[in-house]
Amino acid sequence: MKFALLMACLLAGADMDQRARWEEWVELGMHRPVLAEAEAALTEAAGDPELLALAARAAAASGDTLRAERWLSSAEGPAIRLERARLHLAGDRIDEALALLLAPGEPPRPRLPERADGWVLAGRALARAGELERARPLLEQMIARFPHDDEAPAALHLLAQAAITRGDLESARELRDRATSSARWRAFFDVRRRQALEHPDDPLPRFGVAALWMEVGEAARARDVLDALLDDAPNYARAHALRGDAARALGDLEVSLAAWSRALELDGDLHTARLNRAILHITREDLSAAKKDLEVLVTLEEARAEPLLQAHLLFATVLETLGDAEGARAARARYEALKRG
Amino acid sequence: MIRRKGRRILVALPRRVNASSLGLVFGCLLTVACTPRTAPQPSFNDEAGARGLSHVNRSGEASKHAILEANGAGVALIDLGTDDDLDAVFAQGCLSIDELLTGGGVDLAVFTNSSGSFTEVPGPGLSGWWTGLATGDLDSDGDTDLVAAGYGSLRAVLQGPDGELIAGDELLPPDEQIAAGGAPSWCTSLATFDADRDGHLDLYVGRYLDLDPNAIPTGALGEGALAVPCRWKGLEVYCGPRGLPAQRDMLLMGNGDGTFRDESWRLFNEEAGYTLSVLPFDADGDGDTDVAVACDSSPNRLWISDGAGGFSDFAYEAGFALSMDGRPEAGMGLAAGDVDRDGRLDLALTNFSQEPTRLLLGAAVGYTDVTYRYGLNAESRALLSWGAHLVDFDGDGFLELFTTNGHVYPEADEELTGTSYAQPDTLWRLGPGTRCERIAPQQSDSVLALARGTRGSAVGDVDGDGRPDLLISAIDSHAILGMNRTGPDHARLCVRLLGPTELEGSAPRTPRDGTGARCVMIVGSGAEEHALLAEAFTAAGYQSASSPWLHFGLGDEATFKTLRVSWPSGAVEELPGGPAGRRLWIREGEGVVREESL
Repeated sequence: MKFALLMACLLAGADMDQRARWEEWVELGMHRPVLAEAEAALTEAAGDPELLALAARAAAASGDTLRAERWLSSAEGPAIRLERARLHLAGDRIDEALALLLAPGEPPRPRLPERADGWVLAGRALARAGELERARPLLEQMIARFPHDDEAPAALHLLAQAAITRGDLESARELRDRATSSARWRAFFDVRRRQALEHPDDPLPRFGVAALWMEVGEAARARDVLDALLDDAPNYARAHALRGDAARALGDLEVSLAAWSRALELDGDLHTARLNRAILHITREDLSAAKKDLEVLVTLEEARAEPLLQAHLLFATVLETLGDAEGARAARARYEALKRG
Repeated sequence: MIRRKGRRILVALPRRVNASSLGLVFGCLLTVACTPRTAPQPSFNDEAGARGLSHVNRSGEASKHAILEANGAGVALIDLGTDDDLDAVFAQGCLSIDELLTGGGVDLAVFTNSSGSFTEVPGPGLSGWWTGLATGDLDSDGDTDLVAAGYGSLRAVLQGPDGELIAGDELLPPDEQIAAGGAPSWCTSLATFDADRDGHLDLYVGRYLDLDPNAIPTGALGEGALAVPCRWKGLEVYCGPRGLPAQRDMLLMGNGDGTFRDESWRLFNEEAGYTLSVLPFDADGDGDTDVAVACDSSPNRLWISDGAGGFSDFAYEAGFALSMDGRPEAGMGLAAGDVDRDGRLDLALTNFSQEPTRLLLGAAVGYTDVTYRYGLNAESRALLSWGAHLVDFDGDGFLELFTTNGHVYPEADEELTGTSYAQPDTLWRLGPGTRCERIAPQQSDSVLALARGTRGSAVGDVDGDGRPDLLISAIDSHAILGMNRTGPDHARLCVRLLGPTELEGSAPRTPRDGTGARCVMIVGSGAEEHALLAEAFTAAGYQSASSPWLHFGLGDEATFKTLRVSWPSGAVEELPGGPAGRRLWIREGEGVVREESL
């Protein structure tokens, strides 16, 4: 939800909601612009704990711990509590951090389970205290609830280290791979967001953000980014194609069909969009429409190999269904020959 | 109670679970003897000028528009002339990259020591932009030689019969040298050690990244909307290391005559990283030498030797590759020492600002990160640290951690960076408690008070008083000689481990200069009895080489009980105890061959 809001705000440019904007800046390590706005903004929005917490984090990361503490002393709330815990961790006051983060009793439970930081900071504090195994359930829950949070790679890494420590090497290997993959995704995601901020008029970085959301199966987030992007750049063919993919993943086949068709109007060389549209036509039993798309695809050099190779097989199936047995045999034979290489 | 050292197992993550690979061993329990101390404050006054060390480092232009200009140079403490004192060699850069391209570069700066006073003498006649130095007896003739690493060059420098330094072979292939054009091989830290235990010193060469001196990237990497601006905290800075291609490290096997052959293939499945520091030591306690490598913005490596010259990276499994949060940090410098006196070598690893200097205690499996429990995170996050040394400077029997500090970006002096360009060096006590204690400077000219940008550092007893001193290279500035003026002093013992004068028999053999030998000294009695562990390696700090002498602090104990030496040949010798306050030369198979009072 947070990212959808962020991107929607980002795409709205100057109208971007202040909290979402600061959240993104802080996530991207851009503390200077937060602090440039903070004094005036916090006077206006007196006592807003979310803004105070973000400003305090930016101040602390910029070495101004006193200012961070001043801001945190002026409000209460979950965000303030988490920032205080973060300051304790930065100061190596692990016990004080744990007192803020953990509910009383065993097993360890976070005081603020509704926030990803509530879980991961508690897990981190326990790990720093040398209690990796006690941190484990907190980190596992954090990953289950917030798999794409910016702290997800850290949580997975700590879980991998915990597995190594207890001698569970198979789990350690799997967690290490997940941590690496998560960190790589996150690095690309952050770079694309920075590029989007640097080049707000260029659709490419925002397209990259949407593609990264699709990569991790977050089609709704990709859809939100693409809808805003296409408002700004209505003739961006690749965005229409990806919008079609997102709609298909969300089960909205009408929108898929419209998006792929618009993409192909703008750029007839988007072969994957054409293949996807052909498959959708087949699903909807509109075989003549499917045949038209497949006729284009099977003539392509690119269709001699995957992923477009399957166009030949689909073409054979469509021809067969339409009663063209000879054409179907030829198409199938061509498919088999190409598949054999 | 004496803690005997158990061999440590580093377990690789298998592709499939293998029950036999779960061969974890349990180490001994840690019980640190906490001795109440009257702790003398170590004081390191800068006496470089007074002692004739007039060297001034050059590292490009002050604006630091290229990453090459920011990394600075190393130093070496080396005995030239085999007169038992420590002379100083400085790697040196150029005034600008243009000077390197048009003028060919500069020589090493060499200063000889006479009773603690230094005189500059001609260097070996090299020409380049020099970064790192390593020392060791490369040709097994009994004196100490040098290897100079640079940007586009890697040269063996042998010591002649009169102590003069003689330029030896260029160790880089022609297409990686600066003269070849394009991005040359950029060598940083390097270390001498015996990788295959044949008695000849080998060379691990850390390398950094591809930087074409004729096409220095500025402003951004990449083009158009997908360009990544070169910024730090919103300020425009030089580009790199991220975004520039990393270079692979090298493993050069010594032939015992000052020449080497490239056998980097022995580093199995090596991925290129931005290496800045190299530290050989016996990480798993099995008697051969492993190599820890600190990398900038990429995972650190821990090369575990198979005993025959092959190395596999166990850094991730050991908890050394990444930060505790799973992020690659900007590893700059490394030090090893037995901080908690449990018979295992521990590691200190310096990093960028906003990243802590880490303290990793050797455990039964890998390392336990105690950075936060020791309070080092809060202490060090504002610093960008380079060279690191775990040495008992004050002689109380517990190691201190020294780091050189200074930011890479002049822009660090802008507001809201949380750090600064010039930074004083730092010294922390790490024992007997488990919370670090920063040692404040006693005088305004202490190395702990001077805010400069220091880089390379070497430890050694420059004035022969038994106390380890500090030689430091400051970027674009005068060299610093921090003389250890700790007092009233604790008891000390200095040990020099030496291999046989002639290499005999088949491998494993001990190198003539004793590199890789391990010494355990038993001190105290009853509940206060403890073991002090040290290994003989010169690679230390950042791009630098320290003295091969081992410096033991005995605290209030006037004697030690025994001294056990494990030689790289596999031989183990136990020597009887004796009084402190001495300097001992111990040769494999011969025992103490010479001694002097401190």
